[in-house]
Amino acid sequence: MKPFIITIIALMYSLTGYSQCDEYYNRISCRPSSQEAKDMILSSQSKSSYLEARKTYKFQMTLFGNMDYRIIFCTERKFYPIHFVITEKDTGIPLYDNEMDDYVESIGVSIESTTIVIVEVTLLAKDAKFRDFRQNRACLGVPILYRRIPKSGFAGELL
Amino acid sequence: MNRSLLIIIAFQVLLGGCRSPRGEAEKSEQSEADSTQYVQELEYLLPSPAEFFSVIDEIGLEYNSQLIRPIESITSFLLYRNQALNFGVYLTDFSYLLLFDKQSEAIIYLYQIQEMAQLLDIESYFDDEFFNKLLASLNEPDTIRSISIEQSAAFFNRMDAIGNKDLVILISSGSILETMYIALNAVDERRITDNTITTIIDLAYIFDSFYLNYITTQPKGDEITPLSEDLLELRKIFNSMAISQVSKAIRKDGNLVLTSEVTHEVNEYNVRKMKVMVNTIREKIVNQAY
Repeated sequence: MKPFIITIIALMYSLTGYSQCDEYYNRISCRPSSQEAKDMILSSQSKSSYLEARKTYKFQMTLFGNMDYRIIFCTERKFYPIHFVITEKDTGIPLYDNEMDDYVESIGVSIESTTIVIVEVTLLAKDAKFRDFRQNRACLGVPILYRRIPKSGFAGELL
Repeated sequence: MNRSLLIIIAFQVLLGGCRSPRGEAEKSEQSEADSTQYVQELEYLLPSPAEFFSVIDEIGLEYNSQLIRPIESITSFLLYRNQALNFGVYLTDFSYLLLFDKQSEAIIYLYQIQEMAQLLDIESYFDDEFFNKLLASLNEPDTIRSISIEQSAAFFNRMDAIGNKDLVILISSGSILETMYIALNAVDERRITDNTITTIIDLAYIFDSFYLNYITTQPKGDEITPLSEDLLELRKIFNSMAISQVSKAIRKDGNLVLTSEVTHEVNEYNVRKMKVMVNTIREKIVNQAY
């Protein structure tokens, strides 16, 4: 009987986690500043997930050519910092690692030609102590915003 | 939700707990780095039709009412898979109508989507708040398009959370095939321009992400096999285009600028083949031949 009860509790816990997370990317705390988001709209590739701390989650996304993107990562307070690495899918070439920028939580990207990238995200939760598995999971929100590159966009004269 | 799926989720949660022993956070940073591991398979994020249409306007997409699927009584969709596939088609047509500011027609398609959502038992993903927001923004095309794109993200995130992956992949199949069908209509294979090539490459990348997601999901049932076979054929055509790129990231004012060298073998022959295959699959979806 006991394993059954544990299963039910775990099940309820997991479902609660999922339902809390499904629009996490849309929270005000996940939104960029108005300056960062100027003229941008939320992409349908925006994502929320329910993750275990210190394990890496990977997703593949399409960044269209002639577009500026702002990719933002947010989570619950004690799960920071968030480590993310952006890699080109075709070649596996790393394009950006936020470790070099002290785990900054947002990056602007201007795209010349449509590119598929793999994003690897880990909630490092450096200062957190977890007593058991129910505490080491949190929502990750990845709001992605985009706009057509204006003449004075991120890319400037490079494109 | 499927009972076995619930049990699997519960089991995964329990297993996850086993992999995360008590006091792990107290380990050194080195062991923390060593213990980092992949938690799950790669997830594929797909842009919505509205988002795709908003970025490909340079190919000269023009409004053509003949392109979209006419409204049909929902009672004519008998099989669950055909309901799901055509639901995806209508989602794309709705976005197409919004792109050309055809609000009154779009509302008719929106009601069709609402009715079909009830048929598929997913009406809660298109709540009244969404419909009210759209109706209130009818005279603001930019706002209504932005709401539509945001709703698409909300819809697929909610569906993912529930875990009905078979349904999601069927809806996505209908939606992406209709998107390709509409986009390719603006492409003249006898006149391959730079813009044509850009659009074909964009479609190839979107289809690739969709297809990898499709085969990862592996929709169940023999009845799906003909659709899977047709999608594989389309993948082979895209592969024959040998599209590849090498990108370089440059830092500029704290942002990244990605520049790419793209190589391809997009030509009149494989573009024509692709159009024929897309038209064939789309026709089968619309005629409920799958």
